[in-house]
This record gives sequence, structure tokens and C-alpha cells, in this order.
Amino acid sequence: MGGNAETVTGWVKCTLCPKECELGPGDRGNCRARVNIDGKLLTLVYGKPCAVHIDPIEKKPMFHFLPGTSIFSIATAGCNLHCKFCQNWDISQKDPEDTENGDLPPDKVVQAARYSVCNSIAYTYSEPMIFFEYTRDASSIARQAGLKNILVTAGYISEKPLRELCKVTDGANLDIKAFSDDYYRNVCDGDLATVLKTFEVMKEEGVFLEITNLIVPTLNDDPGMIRDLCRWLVKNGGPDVPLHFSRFFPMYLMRNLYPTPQKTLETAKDIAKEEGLHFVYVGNVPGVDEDTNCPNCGAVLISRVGYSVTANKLVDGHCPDCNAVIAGVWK
Amino acid sequence: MPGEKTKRKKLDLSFIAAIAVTLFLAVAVIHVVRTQSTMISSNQKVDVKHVQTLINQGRLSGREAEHWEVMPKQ
Repeated sequence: MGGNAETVTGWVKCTLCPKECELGPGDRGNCRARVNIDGKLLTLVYGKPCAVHIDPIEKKPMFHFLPGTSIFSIATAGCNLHCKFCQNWDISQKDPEDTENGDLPPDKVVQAARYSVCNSIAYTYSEPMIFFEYTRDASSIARQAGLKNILVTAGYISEKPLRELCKVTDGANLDIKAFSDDYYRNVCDGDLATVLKTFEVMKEEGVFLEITNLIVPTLNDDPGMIRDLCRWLVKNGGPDVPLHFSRFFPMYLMRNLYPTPQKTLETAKDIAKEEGLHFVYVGNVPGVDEDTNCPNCGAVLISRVGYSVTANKLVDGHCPDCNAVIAGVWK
Repeated sequence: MPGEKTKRKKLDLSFIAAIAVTLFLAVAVIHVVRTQSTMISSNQKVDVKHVQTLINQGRLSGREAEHWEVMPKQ
């Protein structure tokens, strides 16, 4: 929790994420959202979202969590990673002073979600871990109101605050950017071990997890690396963890690379299936098959076109044909 | 003359070495500048007055964060 003792030097250490920024008076943390003013660490973004939208839950992407519903989605400025391909860099790589921020305290987030007929809230677009206090408080009120909470996150957070957040989180789409520490360090300014630890803690705390892996041509499209990721997921999460391979488009500081070829994504999907994962999807490619099939009998359970669900044949989370239990949060 | 030939060869080699070193340094400088420009420093300074004004106007939060500690006297 916060530092309650008298500050002698005026310096503070943020312990929210593994970067553990040591900040003198007037310094800003690596995430841009937390600053030391007069020897106290302040969050500049509590209740001040710079993005508020209502999205289909499939856009997160969450395919095994209340399919076909709308999700109230919020974000603030800042991020503790600095991925060179960031798709939301115009808010994630900006200081909170430089974005247009609304005034939406946690209780109003929940009110707005209910008013919008959303039965879940996503903390998304930038990085919910860096607006930790806002995410936790809104999630806590949402829980009491019967709404569910989803984190769309890169999972770069220390264990203690993560466990605290998990208590009020129902599901997460965890972005595993590559199964390579070098990639994390050189392209994202993070490290792989922390993200894998986040996966383990979330699973232990009962958060329903889906994984996204954005495949960037020439950087993390090596079949061996993809196979290692899938093996790790099967070993640590079981075969039922949904995995989304997502297509890269040139963005931010990586405009020199071409979009991921569809063939690369299909190869990745084949590898994941070979390694035993039951639910593998390819994202950001219009027209590609994104249906959910029963891993036992192969029946089509959920049909999708883009972000729309066109048919959902699940019966209380079971396959209607063979009665197999399908992993997910269905109501 | 044999002596002259040797001298010219030496000159060529040092010229190539100089170009190689210059290119290496140029690539190194570009790499460092690009890396530094994409990774923000942990200790970026804020304009405290400006931030406090925005907090007072309600455009930023100013709520005390959690998960931090006072650093011991150095």
C-alpha cells in the first residue's frame, strides 16, 4: 500500500510493476501515469479515462466469455511497456496531460455500463495494470452490481497488486507477445518471465484466461518459437486455454514491416493444434474461420462473422451433440 | 617500383579500415538514438506546476497511488 512514513529524501519507489521506478520529487514513472509530487506517489489517471466505448466482447478478443454480448470498455493514458508496434500508441505512449480525459469515477463507470445494457466491463486499449487503483475500485463496485470484469493486458505487474486485482477480476485476455525474452527486451521494453508468472497467478486465482499472440513478420514468426509457446500453454494452462493468433499491421515505430501473411497465421494455428490446444483462432483477418468447435465430436458450437456471433448452440456450457463440457464463462 | 606498390596497398587498406570504422560508428549512433527515442527514461521530469493546475481543474486525478514506498535516506 501507499508509503505512510515521513519522506526523508523525497524519493519514492513505485512497486506496482517489476520496473520499480525510483522517483525523485517531480519525476514521472516509466508508465507515465504515476508521478512523485512532494514526496508522494500520485496517480494522475484515477477516474480520468481517455477512451470509453461499447464494444462487442469478441473484439477484446474474448471468444469463450459471454459470447455475443456488449462490453463497456475504458482506458487511461500510459503503459509500462513500449512496444514498437503498439496499435494504441496514441494513448498508451502519451502523458495523461496530453490526452483528452473524461471524468468518470468508478461508481459512474458501473452506472454507465448498466445504462448501456452491458453486463461486463473491460479495462483495455492501453494497460489496465498502470491504472491499477481505478481498475480495482471500478471492478469491485461492478462485482457488487452483478457485472463481470475483464482485463485486456500485457500482464506486466508485480505479484502482490496482481493478486489483489484478481480478487475482483472474472476474465482476462493476456497478451503473450512472444516466447522470447530477447523479443520482450528489444521490442517491448519488458521481460518474458514476469508475463508467464502473471499467467500462472491469474490461473491460480481463478481468472478465466484467453491468450493473444500478435505475430510480427520476421520478429516472432519462427515456427519453433510458436511451438514452444503452445507447449508451455498446454503444460501450464491445459489444452482448453483459447489462443488467438493476431495479424500485425504496420503501426507506430514499425511501419517498415509488411502485414502478417495469412499463411503464417494458418501455420501457427496448425502448430497449436498439433501441440494439443483445443481452441485456436486467427484474428484480424476478414473472412477467416473463427468458429468454435467441440474438441470431442467436432460439432460447430459458436459461429462468428467478424465480431458478430451468428449462432450459439451451447447448452449450459455443454456441446448439444456429445454433452462435452466446453471451457468458458457462458452466463 | 616494388616499394611504391607496397605503399599504395597499405594506403588502400587503411582507407577501407577508416570507412569500415566510420560506418560502424554511424550504425551504432543511429541504433542508440533510435533505442533511446523509443524507450522513455524512468526519471522523466514532469512540469509540477502544470500538473498541479490540471489536478486543481479536475482534468487529472492527483489521488495518492498504492503500492509504493518511501526510499530510505541515501
